[in-house]
Amino acid sequence: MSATQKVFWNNTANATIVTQLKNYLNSKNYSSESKSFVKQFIDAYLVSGLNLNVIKSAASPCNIDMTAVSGNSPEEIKFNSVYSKLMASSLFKQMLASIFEDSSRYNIKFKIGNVTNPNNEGETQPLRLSSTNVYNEITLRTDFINDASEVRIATVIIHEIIHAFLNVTRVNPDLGLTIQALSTKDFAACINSCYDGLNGPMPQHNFMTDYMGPVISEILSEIKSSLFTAAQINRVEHPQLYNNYYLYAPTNTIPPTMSSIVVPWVWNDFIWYQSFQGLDSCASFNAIFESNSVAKYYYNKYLTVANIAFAF
Amino acid sequence: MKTIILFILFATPVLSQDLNYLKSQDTVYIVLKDMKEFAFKKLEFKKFNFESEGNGKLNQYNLIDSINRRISIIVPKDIKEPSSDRSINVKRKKFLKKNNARIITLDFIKQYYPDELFFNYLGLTTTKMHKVIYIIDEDSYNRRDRNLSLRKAFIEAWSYSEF
Repeated sequence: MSATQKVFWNNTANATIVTQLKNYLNSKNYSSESKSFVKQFIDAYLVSGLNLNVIKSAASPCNIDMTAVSGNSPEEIKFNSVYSKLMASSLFKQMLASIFEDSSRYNIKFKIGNVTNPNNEGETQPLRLSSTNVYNEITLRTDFINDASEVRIATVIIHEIIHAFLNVTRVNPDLGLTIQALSTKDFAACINSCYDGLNGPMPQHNFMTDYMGPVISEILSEIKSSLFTAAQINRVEHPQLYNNYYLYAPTNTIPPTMSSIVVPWVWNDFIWYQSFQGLDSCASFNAIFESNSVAKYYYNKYLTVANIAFAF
Repeated sequence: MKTIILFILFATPVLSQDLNYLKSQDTVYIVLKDMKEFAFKKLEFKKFNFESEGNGKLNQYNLIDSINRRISIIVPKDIKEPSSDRSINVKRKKFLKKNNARIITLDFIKQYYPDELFFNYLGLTTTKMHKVIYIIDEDSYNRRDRNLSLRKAFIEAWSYSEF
């Protein structure tokens, strides 16, 4: 440990958090990875001024301050429930490293409340405490948390964390750009400009289909059983019991429309489509799900059935 | 001349519904054409395109604006769940007397941008519809059938939110 870290460690005022860090190290058998986490956590804790949560940070791809969402309101309880389910995914913690091949950790504070554009489900604002200290504040809309299905909330949390990562690491001050919140369109442009060359020249959309989509899909797949109730699963797997929640095959027309042929619900397909929800306004999205295509038809229909079947 | 006056008397209440009154109501009724099996129709209005499709078991109506944001009205027929009141029959005369100010038609809807109408006055958010919406079959409504069939709709918004 550095001298500063040792001072923090030995300060009785930090006893609670140090105990949590010791427990974490014990649980990980003092692995080199866990020691690295603890060191960076202490540095982040000291510099950020945030009240970072050891347990949630250790299971997340970034250091997390949950103090603003730790109350007993229905939306806070629901948010924490979904977040805990995400933490159970082994890939969630590694998702930024898996998507971006960058293992930097950064700091996030979660909030629930109003967002600038009242239609947006969440927004991520980079806040600068000093010239070198930036953290992201992710705000999720209160009624969105109350009304949305757990899978949709999980997807938005993942997307916002990616957004936060891009806010900090992908806007390069050396190029004269200031750190600022990225709109969704900027997000897509940022991804395209920064990651098109990840494995040599690639078409614009490949980053989302080859990297981001699979990682988000895998996270959601890992925690699928916890995100849906037995009743919700039954609705889509056995729609005939309800004479509803049917997924219809497309007609062989342009555009494809609903036929009366029922096709079985395929969870992997749903989760793939779900991983792109919220990216509809990106040009990259439209390259993946072209207008009048069967892929776009199924994207729409899977999410429509999900909106109805998972709403209660 | 008589026909024209009668038409105006008949049509005006529907075309001039009070938005703030609609906003204050828990339930709103929309008159739309029932889609027959494998039907698909597209209409282009000034403020949005309107698509309707049906397969005999489900109708879907999409209001798509110039930047591809979409509000979908989904009307399943004869379902067992989520609630038993999804399809009800009412006596036309009594129903209209009580609910005329809560009935809107496509002619009314097309005067507005979809988000303007649905988000500001009909209780839609990006995740939930906060009003109950019933669909009245346009043919039955225009034929002045003695009984009207009402089907509860699901409404959903697409691409209006960013993250």
